[in-house]
Order: sequence, then structure tokens, then C-alpha cells
Amino acid sequence: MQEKKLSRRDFLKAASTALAASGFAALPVGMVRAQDDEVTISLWGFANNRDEWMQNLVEEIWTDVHPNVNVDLSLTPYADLWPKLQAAFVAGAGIPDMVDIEISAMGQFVREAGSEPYAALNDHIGEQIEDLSIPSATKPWTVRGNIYGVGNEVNPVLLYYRHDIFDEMGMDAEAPATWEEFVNMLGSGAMDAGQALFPIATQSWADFYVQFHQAGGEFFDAEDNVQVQTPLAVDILNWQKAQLDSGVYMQQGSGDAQWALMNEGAYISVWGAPWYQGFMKQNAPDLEGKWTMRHLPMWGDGGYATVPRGGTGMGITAASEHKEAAWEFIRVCNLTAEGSLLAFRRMNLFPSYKPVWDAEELLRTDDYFSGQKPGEFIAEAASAMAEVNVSPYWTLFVDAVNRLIVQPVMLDGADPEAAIQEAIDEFEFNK
Amino acid sequence: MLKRKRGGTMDSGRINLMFMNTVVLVGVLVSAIPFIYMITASFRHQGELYSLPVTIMPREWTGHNYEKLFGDTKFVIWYGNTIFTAGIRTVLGVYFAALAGAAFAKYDFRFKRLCFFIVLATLTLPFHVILIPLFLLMRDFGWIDTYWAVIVPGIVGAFNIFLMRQYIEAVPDELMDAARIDGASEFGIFHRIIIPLVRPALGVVAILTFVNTWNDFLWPLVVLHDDAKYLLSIGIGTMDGPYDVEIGAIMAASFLSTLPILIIFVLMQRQIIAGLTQGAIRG
Amino acid sequence: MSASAMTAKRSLEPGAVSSWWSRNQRKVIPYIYLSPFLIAFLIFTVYPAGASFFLSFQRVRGFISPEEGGGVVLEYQGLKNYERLLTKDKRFRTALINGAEFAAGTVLIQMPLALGVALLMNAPHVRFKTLARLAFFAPYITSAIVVAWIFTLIFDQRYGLLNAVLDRLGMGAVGWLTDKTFVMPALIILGLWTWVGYNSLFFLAGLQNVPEDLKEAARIDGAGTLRVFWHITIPFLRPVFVFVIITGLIGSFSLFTQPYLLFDSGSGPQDSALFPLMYLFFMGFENFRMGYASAMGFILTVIILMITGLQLLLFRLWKV
Repeated sequence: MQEKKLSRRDFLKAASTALAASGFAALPVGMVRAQDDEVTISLWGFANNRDEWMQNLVEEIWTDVHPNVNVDLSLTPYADLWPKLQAAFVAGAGIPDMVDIEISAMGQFVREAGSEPYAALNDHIGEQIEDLSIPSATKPWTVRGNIYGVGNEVNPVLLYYRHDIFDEMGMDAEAPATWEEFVNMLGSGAMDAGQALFPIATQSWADFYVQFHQAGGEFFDAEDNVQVQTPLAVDILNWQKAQLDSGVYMQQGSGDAQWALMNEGAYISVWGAPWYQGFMKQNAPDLEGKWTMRHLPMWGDGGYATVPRGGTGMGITAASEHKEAAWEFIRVCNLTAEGSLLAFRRMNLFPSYKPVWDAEELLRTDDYFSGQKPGEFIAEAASAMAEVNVSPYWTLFVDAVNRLIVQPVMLDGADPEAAIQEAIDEFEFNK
Repeated sequence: MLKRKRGGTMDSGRINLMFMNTVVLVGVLVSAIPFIYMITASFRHQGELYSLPVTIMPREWTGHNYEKLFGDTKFVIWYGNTIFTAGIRTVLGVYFAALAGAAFAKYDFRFKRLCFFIVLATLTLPFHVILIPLFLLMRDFGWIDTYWAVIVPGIVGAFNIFLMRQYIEAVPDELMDAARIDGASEFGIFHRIIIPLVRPALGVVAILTFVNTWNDFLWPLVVLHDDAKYLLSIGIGTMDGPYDVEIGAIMAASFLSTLPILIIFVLMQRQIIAGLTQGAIRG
Repeated sequence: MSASAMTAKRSLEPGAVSSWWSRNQRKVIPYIYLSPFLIAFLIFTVYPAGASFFLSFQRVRGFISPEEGGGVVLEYQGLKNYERLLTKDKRFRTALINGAEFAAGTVLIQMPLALGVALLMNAPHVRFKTLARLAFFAPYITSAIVVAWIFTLIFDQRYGLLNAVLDRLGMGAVGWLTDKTFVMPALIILGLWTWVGYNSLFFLAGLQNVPEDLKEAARIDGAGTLRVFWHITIPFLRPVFVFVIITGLIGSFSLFTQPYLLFDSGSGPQDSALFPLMYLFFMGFENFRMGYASAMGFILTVIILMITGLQLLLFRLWKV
């Protein structure tokens, strides 16, 4: 693994940078590389695992087909990518050809119609839209009918539980059909054993949104109006707070601490999208064979079987001078069997490209999940999954949700209704 | 009698001294522990760092984080980039700050007070305010994704000028006048009299500039696009993903990146501290 | 370049230029010495600051495509940005209060500690001075990014070193980074670790500058240690106080990197770690309100200048 990663490309890059560092540092990349037919398309991303996937894809698939098109992948820390991108967009200079657009960071640059810095991909996708699972592949990156990004992953939230521990306690985690049953039937047993059922984020909107969304709520309607001032939101907040107080839910650790808690068995079940399975394997390898997955319990009346969580779409910038080449790269990554299956192999991402859904590979058993077939679960859940209405004001609003709703309610026991109102007031003030 | 009395004060003096020595040692320890923790953390398995009980020493030493750092990231390149930019910034920055400091300390010119006030006022202008216009300027200069953008705009630091002025003021005027009578040019005076006399201050400005480059985060992030051109400050961040923080590798990178500055400091300790504090005493 | 031009000229009128130069070089030289600074300052600070000032009266409405020259669509706002910031924006107020709290912590806790450390280091016969100097200065020259990462580990509620120590002392675990009441103390602790040693070096240098004979004279006049300290040592430290307080205040209001990284690019639980520059950054770069962020920057500059001026005034009064 190690040796493979230090590929020749990296070595050349290293050597040329060493050369650059010795005094020729001022030359911009473009001046060195520009050659007759050769084209370099650049992509800015933020996720190590996606970066690795694309590197592999370039080496294993791309270079054979498009030897003249170099792909320059550059990795920036998540929170820092957006300011960097913004500066480039404002200046109209130094803009990459492609961007890995995380679902939550989609909105902020596309608020004003007519000045979007991303290129609409509708025509590029064309007929192939039929091959895509819309809620995961294009919906989150669609604003005013324009598709600005293609996501390669179907992200239904599933539930994973430690069957070893449940068995030991003589409890059946498959039986409860609703959240209420799940918590009532299993909560006290877990607590008696000094364990919580679930970890939830008490600093951020993510887990509030998962449960609120599953119950039928949504942050925005189609006209970008906030939809949170509802009894449902209050109910969910009260529910989560009650579980947190009783110890059925516990506070999620930050950073690596969350994995430590998982490894310690501080909580014995967790919900997460398929990409989360990849991180579980990586950060809790010793728990292999101890997990079982199942579908989420339902909320009593209404709501959805599951909701999507996260996702990253590849987009092309309006400024790109190599839109065709960039689109070709995005197509190979997301709209081909090779590209999407490679993502499954590398990152556990279940393809949003439907033609591969019955690929044998996707339906393989997984030892980490005690020989279950994650693909089956994901495909089944995907068919009954809610959609996300990502608004251009998403980032702004979820930031208010973090600070003015989730943190005060979960940590200080603030009144949910008043908290919601404050978040909306601030949001409207800043909108 | 006299003897005994003296012995008595010596005893309480000794206890006092012991107490003071202990306090100093505790202070040293408090300062040092985070560094020690950083170093030991870099030799731990990821899981061990987040496990109970919390210990300072690793239960099992491993070089895994360093393997990861050198194998999976462009750490060596970032390191080279950082030393390269920090080096150039330091050399030029020190020289220009000394020039400006000499102008303020040893010459009269119109608007001197106003100019000096401007220098100090610059310290209070948050960099974030000029970030976007400065970036636009970089675009017009064609400096985006080049080290020009990292090196040139901040080349003359206000605090450095302030320090140099304080220090150069102490250079005796008689010495400079004598040199003038001997026919030395003003440049000659600067290079042969002022510079040698203010070496400690040069050392301070050098290390501060060096550290600042190491610290610089937002600006290089925005102007450097190719990740092979990153400086350490940005590179380290790429190991921090939303769901997998490579904290061990980050600690290893932190340790290795702190090392050169600490070594420079140890080597030039006296000079640096004397140079740094000189300015403040005179106010 | 200019040298060769000069020699060329000199060969035309031998003596004239060189005598002009030798007569006037003392007048001209300061401008030459200042020129690198002035040129860089005008181009890279004054011009962008001017542009930013212009921007502070605008609202940014989307991008102009690169084919049309790039840039942003602007909408003139008049004084609206300033008015909104000063009268309506609660978060800006929170950020200023946090900055002030941190500054107060810096000045009120850090200064006495730093002075105490300096007194220790100045006492005769105390050992480990070289080691102590190294240890006290090291945090200051460590990158803020590195510091933030180390303290992420130290402050962790469950696995952090600090809570492990508190546990040994029989105290409960504290959510240094998750509980809003402990966030400011945590930041002040981080600040103390970073800056106490550094500031003590200034006091130490100041103490070594107090004339021994003055103290001796006071002692002969019958003044006790405390009186000598209060009436002779402290007044001599005046410039150090000025320096340490002013740099401390400017530093407090410019705090960015450490909290930004400690709180995962956020503002801490319920904005408990929201500092002015962070808010400026969030507004300009997450909410795309660049004009508003610019206005904030200028308000901040004025505030810092005012505080600094006030300090200088107070200390001038003290001198008398």
C-alpha cells in the first residue's frame, strides 16, 4: 500500500517541487505544463478518501483512455476549501476546472440567479439522467432546475448494532419497529449494562436533522423558506433531549474521540450512511463481525423509512476552459460501471449509477457486518428514501441551527420553541 | 552569636530558595508538558491516544505515524516549501526592517512622526479586511499560485520596524558622525556600523519572521492552489478530515515542524531574548 | 540600476552630482531607507484597505464571470452595513464581548503571573534559569496551528490530559471545548501557556534595568522590600507594562487561528469562542457578505486604535 501510493507521478511532482524550491518557484504551473495537445484539468477536493479514489481511477482507468488529459487533484482541508474557492471566484482567476462540492457547501455561491460560478450539467448528462438515482445523484446539487454537481453515492441512513452485546443481554434489536419501541425495549437494558444505545451530535445539526427529516420534517421548502417552526421539530428536540438526559443517547465525541467511544463499546448502536461504514471499518477494525445492520425504526405515523445523509458531487466551474474534458472525467468517475464500482471498493460508496446495482460485487457479503449484504440493504432503503431540499441558504441556516437550536436545547435544556424562533430570526436577519 | 544568627537567616533563605527553585521547575514543567505530549503522541497508535487511562508515555511505541506522514502525504515537499519561503522572507524582511528602523531612529525627515504612527497603526488593521482586494491584486500581478504572493506582500512587518527602531536608537550618534568625517557614505554607515551593532535585534526579527511564515495560514491557503506548493501550515490541515483525523500524523508533523525553530532558538537564545526585550524596556 | 544611471550622469558633469549627493545624502537617505516599506505598504496595504473601505458600503450580489473580467456584482448600501453592525447585530456584540473577556483574562491574570515569573528569574541564586528561559519562550515560537492541535488533545473531555490531571486531584471532568461556561477559561489557559513566559521575559529585562543604587538608597532610607518594589521597581517597569498590555490587547482582539482550529472551524458551543475576526471571516466567507465583513474590519480597527490610544493616555498620566 505505502509503496504503491508513492507513485511515479508523485515522485515527479516531488522532484519538480524540489527544483522549484531551489529557486524557480515563481513559475505558475500552467507555464511549465502547456504543450500542444496536452490538457490538464484540475479538481479541488477536501476528502482524503475521495482523493485516493480519484488517484486510483486516474492510474487504473483514465490514463489508458485519455493519455493526453492530465488530471491534477488537489486536496484542501474541508473548512478551508470554500474560502479558497470564493477568493478564486471573486477574482475570476486561479479557478479550478472541477470542484468536489460537499452537499452542505453547495448553496452559498449560487444564491443569485445568472451569476452562478458553476456550469449547469443538464445537457452533459442528457439521457443518462435515466441511469441515475436522482435523490442522491443530482437533486442536492440542483438549483433553479440547473444541475451543478453529480454525486456518486446513494446515502440512505441505516442502523448498525453490536449483536454480540445485545445477544449477551438477551435482547433482540431486530424486533422494535418504531423508535419508541426501540428505545423502550432496549434502552433500559443497555443502561443497566452501563452503555448508551446511540451517540448523537450535540454540537451540530446533523443528528437532529436525521431524525427530524425521517419523521417527515425538512429545513427548507422548494421556495427556500425555512420549515422548522413546526410542532414536529419541537417534538423531535424534546425526544432527543429526553433520551440524552436518561442516558439512552449519549453525546458524540469530537474528532477521534468518537471512534474511541465506539471501540470502547460506550454505545452499542449507531446510525450512518454507507460511507460511514467505510470509516467504521477503518477506525474500528477490531469490531469486525460484531456488527449487524438493519433498517431504521420508523416514527409512529408518517415519515420515511430512511433519509439520505451527506454526499459530495463533482461539479464544473463556469470559468473552466476545458469543460468537455472535465465532463468526461466526471462521467468516467460517476456514470460508468468501472468508476462507480471503484468508489464502492475504495470507500464503500454505493453507486448512484443504477445500471450497476445488480453487479455481483455490490451484493457481496461483508465480514465486517457479520456476513450480511450491505448492498441489498442500501438498495432497498434507497427506494424508500426521503429527498433533501438543499437551499442556497443551507449553510447559513444550519449554522444557526447548530448554535441557536441544537446546542442550547441539548446542552442547556433551553426551550425548543423559543430556540427555533431565535434561529429563524437570526437567519432572516442575515439572509 | 553572630555566626548563629547568620546561620538562621541562611536557613530561611535556603528554604526560600528551594521554594523558588521548585516554582521555577514547576513552571518549566507546565511549559514543557504539552511539547512532551505532542512528541509522545506522535509515537503512539491512533487508538491508544484516545484510550483510558490517559498517560503521557506511550504504552507501545510506534513509528507508524511517521511512516504515514512520509508515505501518504507530501510532507517533505511542504517542509521544503516552508523553509524556502520562510528563508527568503526572513532575509529580505530583516534587511528592509533594519533600513526603515534606521530611517526612523537616526534621521530627520518630513512626516516622520506621521509615518511612524502609520507603521504602528498597521498593526491594528486585521489582515482579513484586505484579504479579498489583496487577492485581486495578486491576480492582476499574475502571482496566484506562486510564491511571490506569499513572500512579497508581507515583506516589511510593522512590528519588526518598531523593534529595529528601538534598537538602532541605542547606536551612538558620535560613532556615526566620526564615520561621516572619515568620509563614509550613509549606506556605508548602515552596513558597517549600524548592522554590526544591532545583531541581536536582527536575530529577533529573523526568528519572528521565520515563525510568522510558519504560522501563516489564511493567506497561503488562498493564494497557493497546487497542493505540491502548500506550506506546512496548510498541509497539516489536509490530515484533518471530517470523519478521520490523523491526529498521530498531525502530531508527528507538528513535532518535526517545530524542531527547526526550537533549534534556532536554543542556538541563539541570549541574542534573541536580549534583542526582543530591549525595545520594550525603553518604550 | 540607479547606480549605473548615476555614474553615467557623473561622467557628463563631473563633480556636480557627487557634490550634490554628499551635501544632501543625509536628507535623501531616510526616504531611500523607507522606500521598500513605503512602496510595499502603499501597494499591499493602503490600496487593498482603500478597496475594502469602498466595499464596506456595498453588498455583494454574485459573481461576474471571468470572461467579463471577473469580480463581483455590487449594490450600494450607504452606511447600512455600519449601522446594522453597530446597532442590530447580536453576534458582533457577542464577538466583541468575547474579545474583551479574553483581553481581560490576558491582562489581569497574565500580567501578574508574568511579573511573578520575572521576579523569580531575577532573584539571585535561583537555578535553572537557562532551562526556564527556553521553556518559557518555546510556546511563543510554536506555530499557532501546532498549539491548537496539541490543546485539542489536552482539552478533550474524556481522553484529555487536563481532565486526567483534574481527576487525580479528585475533580470531575470538564467539557473544556464543549461546555460553553468552560470555553473561555480553556482559551485563557491556552493563552497563559503561550504568552506568560514570553511576557515575563520583558518584565525580566525591565527588572534588570532598575538601577541597583536607587533601590539601595531607598533601603537605607528605611523602605521595606514591598515599598521599594512599589515605589521604585514598578515605576521603572512602566514601559514594559505599556508594551505588554498593548500587544496583549491587540493580540486578544485579533485572535483567530487557535479558536478557529480548536472548535473545528466553528465558533464553539453557542458562540462562546466567537471572536471578532472569526465573525468577520464567517460573514465574508461563509455567508458571502464581503461588504459587511469589510465594514466589520474597519469598526474593529477603530476600536483597537481607540483602546490603544486610551492605554497610552493612561500611562502618560501615570508618568506624571
